[in-house]
Amino acid sequence: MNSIRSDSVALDTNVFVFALRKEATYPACETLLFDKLSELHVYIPLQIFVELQRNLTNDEMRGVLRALVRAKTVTWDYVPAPAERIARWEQQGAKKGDAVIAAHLEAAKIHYFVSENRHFLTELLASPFQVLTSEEAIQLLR
Amino acid sequence: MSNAEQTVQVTLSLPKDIYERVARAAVGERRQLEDLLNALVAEGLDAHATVRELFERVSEQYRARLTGEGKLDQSADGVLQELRTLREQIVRELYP
Repeated sequence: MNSIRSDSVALDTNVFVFALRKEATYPACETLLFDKLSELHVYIPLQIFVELQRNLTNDEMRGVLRALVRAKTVTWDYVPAPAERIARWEQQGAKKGDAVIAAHLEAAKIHYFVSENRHFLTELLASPFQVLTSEEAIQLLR
Repeated sequence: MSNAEQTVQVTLSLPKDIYERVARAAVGERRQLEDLLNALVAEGLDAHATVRELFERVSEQYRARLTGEGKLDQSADGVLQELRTLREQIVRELYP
């Protein structure tokens, strides 16, 4: 049986950005990242790593990396998403960017994806992973 | 100037063997001894910090930068849209 405590969890770029901004609309992003990280096995695919790099300065990125190693485990996946899987998710209606994320998670057999981007739920109806908001992820950790 | 950019001079006495290890590492990494010592002290402090403290430090730095760029007041929906646009842009670069 899958569990957010024992399985790897991918965190979307928006979770990092909202947590670091201390975005009042999504306070659970900060709680999940700042207070619950050590309870998670974190998986970071190439696409999200590059997005973080584009949003943060080198110094800010180093700070995030220093904090991320405090997760139960952290896996950096630098392998590009498989082209055939990207194409399949696009055929199923996902925008290419979301198709790349889905392909990464599917290839790495990741069961949980935490994102505040609701488009994932509408675009990826038959996804092999569960899309959770930060708030829902925190509820599962309780 | 932020606290992170200000410097304070200190005199540090180290056991000779520690000094020699640091000096060797600095040569190996082609860094100034002072830079390496600075990094080692910061890493040592990080080891004692909580995850929240580590993220709070980055957050403070990030929010200060966004304030300077006039972007901290951007709406959450605006941020989400910008991230979606960035995602598509990166995908075009990585998977042409």
